[in-house]
Amino acid sequence: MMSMTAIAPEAWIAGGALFVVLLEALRPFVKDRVLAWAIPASTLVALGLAAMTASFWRGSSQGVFFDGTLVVDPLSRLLVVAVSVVALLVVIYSVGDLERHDLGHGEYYALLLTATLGILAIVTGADVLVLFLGIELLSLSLYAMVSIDRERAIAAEAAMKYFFLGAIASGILLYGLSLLYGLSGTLSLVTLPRMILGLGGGDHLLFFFATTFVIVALAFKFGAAPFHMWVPDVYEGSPTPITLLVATIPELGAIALFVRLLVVGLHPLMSQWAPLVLGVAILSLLIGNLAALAQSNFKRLLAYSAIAHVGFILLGIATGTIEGEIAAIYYTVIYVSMTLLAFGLLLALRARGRDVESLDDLAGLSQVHPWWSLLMLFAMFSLAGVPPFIGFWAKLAILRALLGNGEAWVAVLAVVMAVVGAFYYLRVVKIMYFDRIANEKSVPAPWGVPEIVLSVNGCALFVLGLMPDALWQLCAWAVHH
Amino acid sequence: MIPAWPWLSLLIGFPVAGGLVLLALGSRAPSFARSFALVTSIVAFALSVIVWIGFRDGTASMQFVERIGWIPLLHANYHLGIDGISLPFLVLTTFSTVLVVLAGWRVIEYKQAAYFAAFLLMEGFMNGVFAALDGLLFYFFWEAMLIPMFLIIGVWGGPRRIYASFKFFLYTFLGSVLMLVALIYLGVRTGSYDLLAFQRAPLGLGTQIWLFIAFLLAFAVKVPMWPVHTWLPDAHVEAPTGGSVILAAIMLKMGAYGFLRLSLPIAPDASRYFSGLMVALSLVAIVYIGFVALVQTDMKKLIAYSSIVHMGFVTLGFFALFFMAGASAIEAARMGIQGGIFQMISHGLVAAALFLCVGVLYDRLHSRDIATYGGVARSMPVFGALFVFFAMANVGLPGTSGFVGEFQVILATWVANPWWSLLAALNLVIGAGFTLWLIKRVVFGPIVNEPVAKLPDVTVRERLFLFLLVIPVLLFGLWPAPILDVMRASVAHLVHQALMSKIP
Repeated sequence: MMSMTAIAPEAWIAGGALFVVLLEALRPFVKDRVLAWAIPASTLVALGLAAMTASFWRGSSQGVFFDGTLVVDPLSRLLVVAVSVVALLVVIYSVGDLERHDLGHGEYYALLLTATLGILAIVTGADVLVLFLGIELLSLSLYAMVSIDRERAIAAEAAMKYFFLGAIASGILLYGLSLLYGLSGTLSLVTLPRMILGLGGGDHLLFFFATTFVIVALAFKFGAAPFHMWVPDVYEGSPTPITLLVATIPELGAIALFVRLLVVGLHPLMSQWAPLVLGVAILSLLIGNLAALAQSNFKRLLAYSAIAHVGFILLGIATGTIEGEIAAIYYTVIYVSMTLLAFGLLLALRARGRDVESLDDLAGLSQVHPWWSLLMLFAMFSLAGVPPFIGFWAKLAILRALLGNGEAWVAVLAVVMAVVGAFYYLRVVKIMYFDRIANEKSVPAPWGVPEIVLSVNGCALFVLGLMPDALWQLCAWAVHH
Repeated sequence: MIPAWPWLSLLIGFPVAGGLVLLALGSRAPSFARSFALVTSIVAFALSVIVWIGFRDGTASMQFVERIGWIPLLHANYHLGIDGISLPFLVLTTFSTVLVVLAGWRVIEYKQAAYFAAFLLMEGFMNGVFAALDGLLFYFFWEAMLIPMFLIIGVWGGPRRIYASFKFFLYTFLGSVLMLVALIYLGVRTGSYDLLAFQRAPLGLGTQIWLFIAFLLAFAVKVPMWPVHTWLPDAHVEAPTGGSVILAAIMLKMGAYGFLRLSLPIAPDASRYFSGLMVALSLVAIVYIGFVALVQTDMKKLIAYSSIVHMGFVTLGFFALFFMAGASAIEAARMGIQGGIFQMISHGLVAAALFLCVGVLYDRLHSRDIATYGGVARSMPVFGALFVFFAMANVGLPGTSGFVGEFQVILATWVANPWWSLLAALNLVIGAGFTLWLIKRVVFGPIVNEPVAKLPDVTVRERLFLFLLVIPVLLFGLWPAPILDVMRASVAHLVHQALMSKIP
């Protein structure tokens, strides 16, 4: 019975996915209007219940369940809540847009729920195989979602690219994991460190190969350089609601993978993976920031900015310290909340007749939509890491971890790249505020729940920037226990 | 005695709240918006006057201290407090904001409420910088300030506003982030972000040198010192009048304030180590930039370069103290710093006044080119008199506030090295040259251009803000004691800190 409550969030999501598929199967018999309401509603209910059951967790059932395959600890509960809430927001922001572009069928919601389920498996997995299953469930759902708009040629291209490269990465990961299994004889992340230590701390060359393969695959899934090729294409090619999804929830899964697999599972091999992760991080910072300077498409710009932010996050992981781990998780949660806002705003603008593809489509936005452009300004300055917005504290956490570990030069490099990054965020602000346009008619759209949630999301970046402590404490609590 | 309210928090929070109200108001009630902005800025000024009245001279300890936990995880506190060095700047900030609101009253037409909101937000953040006693809080306000200024230059600026705003933001941002690394380093090392604890912490010379360089990059850009001054002329020229006033009066002072609050007390040995370089850079600014100012054809650019010259005096006064010798060394060291601070206050008033004067002309003919004007005194006699008065203050004529600081710095430098003193005194000639030549070409002489003859003289509103500046310029020129008394004890304490080695 204990173990059943442990997987309650996953159960809600899986049940929700099945229920949505069932509803979709009823389409010939039920009015479209009813389904258009019932499918998103049941998705929201499933996600909400998952978030609630996970957030009511009070430490009573901490431990490993199902023969050591699932772990329930503060970290997994924190990430389960975060993933469910983010997915909830993704649905709220996208539902109108999907409806208008006739993509709002059951497939989208079912795939969203299975993708979420995949991430929950990654987040709670205590076994290498469970992690791999989670990754595959997530990836397959995402491949399908990228190409959900069959008419869109650029989306098909992006999906192909994503699928082929993703499949190769999965193969590499599997190979690395099989090497690990062959060497240590265990699949459990709990016993893995002990087995490695028992083998003399992993001096074996094969361990080095195994960690390298694992890091390559993880870097691919996280979209870190030099395995970032798919990111800009997928961001640009997908319909905006899908980009919103691809840019947010998987990042939470990726950070969980890094923490569970590298920081915990392969802890004895830290001297092997830390330099590699550091290299990947620095490369991501350089490539992401420098390439973003040259972008004229807004979604591509955010894609390269995502690569740069992943670089920052991995700097925290590369320190190998508890503080770095906390900082990386803190940064990821904050980054996801900022990205949610940016893409959510794009969707809100689309509903008002502004389809933002190229950066110039934002011209004079402050004259037509003062509120939305103010929120976009919040998102941009927060992404740039300028106080008083929360993005500043995310960067500060990483810098503190670096300096606490004596890596002052890396910290200097990181802040210099942050200045480079500031340039392209400022460019967005410039286009919205400094470029003036002749009068433009906007399509009037009423305010509904998505608009209110979006505004709360935007103001939260400011309010949390004034009081950054609570979220930080939460991340620290999740890691320390 | 005044009641023990959180006055400093009010000084920060009140303008910020006012700015947020204006932002929320949008373009709905324009005439209400500007009255609201004016009332808010006047109340903020009144608050700072109350703080001045309640301030006790004769002690170097922090006053009006507020301290509550902010980020317990990092041991960072919401820690505010002022001493005799920060107090004058608080008052200057709130005073300048009132002027800026008056100056933008009729001139700004595009999104006026947002314009005033930006200035009020900035006022709150600037007060925060001067009142913060916690490293993270200091940085928080220091950086937050960039956002409204970036928008002010970019949205309401001149033709090359985009170039200028980006240059301003990125230049200062690059300097600041390295200061952030230094602050975090100190935080990790001392276990808290208390600036006073940073000042007490013993540090080896090597560490101090790195810290000093990081601080220097942030502060030298902000001051600005030669050779990282190039953003200032661009920013000044393109910013709207109000933006130039705040830039000149307050933002440039932040860099010098940083030297006093962070560089000198936290890294005194490194300050000594680099003092020769700092003096050299200051002298280059005074002499070379003075010549650069001489050849300008744009009025705003000329005043911008003149600002760099005057800030050169400030940094000269601060760093000459390491070269003092003899019986009067301590006395001279104090005089140098005191002169530097006085020069900052005076320059804040005078440069603000000059930019407002240029703004008055610009609003009439939409040209900042010196050649456009000539003979303005014939059509605008009152304005001509005021402009000449402020120009004299800029030259450092005895009887105006410009004289006191410059004279003290030159006197103090004499003790350190008579040759430097001589070079600095050269500015009395060059400065007089470029300022008086500007006056000669703009205010006096025959009217060359037809439109100048028809210029209406200053309106009541313009008279108001210009006369508001005449009062302190004259008052502190004739009677500098109020400012000198306020800072005497804090300056003495600072000199003590700067001359004491921290190497363990």
